[in-house]
Amino acid sequence: MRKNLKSRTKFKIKSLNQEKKLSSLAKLVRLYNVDRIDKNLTSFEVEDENFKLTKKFLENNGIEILEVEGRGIGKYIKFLFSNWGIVLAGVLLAIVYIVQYQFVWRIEIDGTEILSSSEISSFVSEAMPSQFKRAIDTKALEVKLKDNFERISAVSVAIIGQTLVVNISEAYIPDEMGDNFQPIVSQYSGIITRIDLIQGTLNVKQGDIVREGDVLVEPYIIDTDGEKRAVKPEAKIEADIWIFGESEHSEYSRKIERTGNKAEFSEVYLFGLKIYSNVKENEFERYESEESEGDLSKNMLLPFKVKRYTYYETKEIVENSKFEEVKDKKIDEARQNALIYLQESEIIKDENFTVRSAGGVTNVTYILTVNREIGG
Amino acid sequence: MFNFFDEIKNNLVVVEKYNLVNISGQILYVEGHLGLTNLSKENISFRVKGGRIVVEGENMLLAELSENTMKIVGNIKKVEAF
Repeated sequence: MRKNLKSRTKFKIKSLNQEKKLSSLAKLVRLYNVDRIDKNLTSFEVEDENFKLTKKFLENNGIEILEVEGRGIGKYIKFLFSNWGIVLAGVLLAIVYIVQYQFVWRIEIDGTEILSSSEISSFVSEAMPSQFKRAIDTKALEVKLKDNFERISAVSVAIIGQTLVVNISEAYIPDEMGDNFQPIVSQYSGIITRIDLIQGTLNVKQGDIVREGDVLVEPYIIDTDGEKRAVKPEAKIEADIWIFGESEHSEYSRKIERTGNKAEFSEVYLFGLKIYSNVKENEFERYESEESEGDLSKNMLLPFKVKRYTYYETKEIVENSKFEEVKDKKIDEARQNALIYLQESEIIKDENFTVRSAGGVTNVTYILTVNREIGG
Repeated sequence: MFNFFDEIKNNLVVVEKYNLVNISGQILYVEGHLGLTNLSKENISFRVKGGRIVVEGENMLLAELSENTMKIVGNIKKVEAF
């Protein structure tokens, strides 16, 4: 028995004594999938080429044909012929797809960090003769990109599907390749204590007092021919620098305190209309006020809003204190303010403070001396 | 290619009546039938030279039927010759 790939026709028949009739039919044609559905009902399949012979046999033997159903490739061919609209739509779709597949619709830029992807994308877009794939010379595009962007060290252009993929490798330009060297400038004010020059021309010497922003090392050297040659300045320069912290004290001071008395008023609104208010004139001579707004209550059907006004009575307190009474506290406060600026593990070489008084106000300035690298 | 059934036919003296090949109780090939006598999902019977064969099982289907061959597929429980 062989595996049959030919298309078949399925018959559903009704008759008595089917076994005998099917056996007789099987002498003429090969039957497939003979299925006894019921006592008098059977379905079976025959190859399409045997359709007429089978039909004739069934009719001649008084067998009622209930259904004839096409199967296999033939069935689908018949379907296509009877549904030409679908076939036409399919053909048109295929044509549209094939046509649009010939064009590049997207440009993808990969590998850019310094260069702007959008800039390269618009350059490529302008450099392309058209969006038609066959008109795009990827090698020529690569050359154009390299010629127009100095930062590109390598580039590959490829058309993948309907996307033009530009893969860029950017060039790394070391500082030594350019002449744009910046001098080393001092980041702090102080007295220079140590200089280790590696490269460049020194602008200061040990013991010099420098201010923040002063040039410490120039970005050039004078070679043996007396020519000035640009170099990247490198040096380790340390200096004693001063860190300041301050505190202030007034002999006479005023401050405002709440007495604890308060008055509260509220207004209720519905859809922006005030429907209740108990706001009265505030009777406090001195006061601070707070205002808040929110829902009157949760889970209310109507959106009642409430505005609350709270007035706190205040009083002025005048304090008089002598600097001598708080001197240690103020000095420590100034010291703490200076310590904030200390770097991690930095050693304090010296510390002192100055006190200046004028008009009842005393200022304490605390000075910490530390040694720090100042070249930036 | 070596054919086991041909070898049996050629080398052994057997009466050529019919051949039944049962594969794992799932497929039964029949050669030499003389016509169906019963067809249902549980019982397929057919005449052979010198008797009758009854095949019993579940969900059986006569996958192919020709003049003298047939292929029964399904859960074949028993094949009896009478």
